Amino acid sequence: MTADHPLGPACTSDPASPQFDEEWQRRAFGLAVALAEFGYYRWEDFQRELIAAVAAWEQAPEDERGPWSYYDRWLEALDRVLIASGAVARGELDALRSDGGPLSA
Amino acid sequence: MSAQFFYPTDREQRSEAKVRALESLLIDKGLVTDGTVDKVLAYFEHEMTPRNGAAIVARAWTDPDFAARLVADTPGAIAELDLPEGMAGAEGEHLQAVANTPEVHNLIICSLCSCFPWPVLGLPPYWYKDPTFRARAAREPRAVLAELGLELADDVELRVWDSSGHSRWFVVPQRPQGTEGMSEAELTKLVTTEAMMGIAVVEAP
Repeated sequence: MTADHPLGPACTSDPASPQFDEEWQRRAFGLAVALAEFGYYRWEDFQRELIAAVAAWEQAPEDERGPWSYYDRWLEALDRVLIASGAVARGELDALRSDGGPLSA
Repeated sequence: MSAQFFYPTDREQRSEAKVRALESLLIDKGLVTDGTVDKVLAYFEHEMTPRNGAAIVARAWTDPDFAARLVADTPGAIAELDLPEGMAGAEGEHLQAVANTPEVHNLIICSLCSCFPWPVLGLPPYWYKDPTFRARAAREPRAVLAELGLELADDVELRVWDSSGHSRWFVVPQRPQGTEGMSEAELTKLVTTEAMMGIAVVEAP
């Protein structure tokens, strides 16, 4: 039986290998865990947002969704759970993003 | 707008800027302090590691009563061991051990999105979170295992456990032959993350 998406030789792991490819992913992970630990939202609520963000990417048309990035979905989930819990206002996040980003047009 | 997606480096930079801005906002608002994230990360990187899982497995190999309790009441059995504090929180409260036998091999997946048993296995390897792996492991687990280098005999039953918010599965692999004389501490060193995910077996030393 031929696999339609072979996993390839890269799919082995070394227990000692770093688990984050980029420092920003590590920061995003730490922020989400810390805020849940401090009670700004329940961890389950963050997970629900993450599941929804991953599902939305999987269901989006391939030419619109961009390459797979787990931690970009993680960031989306973090935005949403912070807004939903009232810890951060949507306007505050919009203000952050409107002038940020090297490619913002 | 969509042009950005063709430049992965720029995407990385955008994401990096996004996280930096978010952390600054949260510090300004007083939700976290400057060193908070580093402290949380240090805890995960130094305490919540596969060494915890390996210690649990080695105890199960050397103490059959513990092995039975571990499957029946996983958090209760883990609490008997001298492991880092906080094993019960941070996803640890829903831990569920499943034991491999000569007849049954267990594989842990998460078809929703990576509900990984951090406290015993540490953070998941990057490919575990990949939609391709998640989908294929659910659909054709035997083929996926073979690609990862684990060829199961035809008469071995393969059970696939899908992690969720309520159950974080991890595998108690079989103790390899030829390790009868080894101490619990020596056995701990043989146990790998892959074996506790069920994508490998523990090799004899």
